[in-house]
Amino acid sequence: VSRGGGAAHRDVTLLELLDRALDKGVVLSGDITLSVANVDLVYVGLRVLLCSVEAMHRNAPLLGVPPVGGGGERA
Amino acid sequence: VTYVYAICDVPPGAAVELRGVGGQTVDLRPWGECAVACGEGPAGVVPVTAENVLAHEHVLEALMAAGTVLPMRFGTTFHRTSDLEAVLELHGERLRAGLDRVRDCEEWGVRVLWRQPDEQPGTPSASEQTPLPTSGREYLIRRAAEEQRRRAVEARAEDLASAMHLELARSAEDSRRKVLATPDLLLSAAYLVRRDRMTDFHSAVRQLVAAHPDLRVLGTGPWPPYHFAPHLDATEGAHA
Repeated sequence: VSRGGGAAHRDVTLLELLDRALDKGVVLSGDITLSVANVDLVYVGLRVLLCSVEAMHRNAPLLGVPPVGGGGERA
Repeated sequence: VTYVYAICDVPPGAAVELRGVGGQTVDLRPWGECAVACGEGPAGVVPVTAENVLAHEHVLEALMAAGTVLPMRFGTTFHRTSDLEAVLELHGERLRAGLDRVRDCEEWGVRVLWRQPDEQPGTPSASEQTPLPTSGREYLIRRAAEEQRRRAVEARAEDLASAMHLELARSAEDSRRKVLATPDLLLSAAYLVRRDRMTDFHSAVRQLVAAHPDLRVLGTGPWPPYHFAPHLDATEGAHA
């Protein structure tokens, strides 16, 4: 499993996380209030993601990007 | 203010060392045979910062390592614990079923980038190729041709993405997919994979990468099963 990519790697992981944590998951109540100044950032981010993916691809095989925090693989 | 991270099924004490959003401790409040992972949250609006979103994720990942989690969306807060309890009561059945559905599973993400057929090197785009239309009729003919081309690209994307998706979904319990979320993003997909089928899933991804050297594939995981959380309907419960 590669750890190549450095900053691009972290960016991709964060963008993947934003895509999930802000848009998926159980909505328990109708009144989730977020400071939404950054909502556009998610979409801008997806375009950034494309660049980052290209950068990562040059650096390393892609399967096995660890989860946020670099906790490594789990069984 | 109570911030809710997840409904989970983990051994008691699994959250003892956890620090969540704002550096607050995380408690496991018993909820039937399961637990609700929650902690003190920021008063008012939860700021969307990398730090806060990562803190939310770290709690979920730690719980996931200890057992099963059903992730809440970032920023789920309740001013009164009685409100939280009422919501849990209302959607109890759905939440328990949701937790069961993701038991022993992890989410894996796959994104596939392609070069659109129109953008093959050496093929100038229509706008570079041809002068401006000289009549309304010519304009309409061109518009129709462009529309036809766009549909052909979409159809090609759908075929290619579906074939790839089917190969991966074979090793998964459940999946979500989106084709052409952006023009370059051929496939964005999430797979719910049982831990004991992880090897199958990973080799399916490797085979996909090998079979399509012209495409770029990004696999990420393991994630908490965000994409496979049940949708709760506010009117549900009443007639459940």
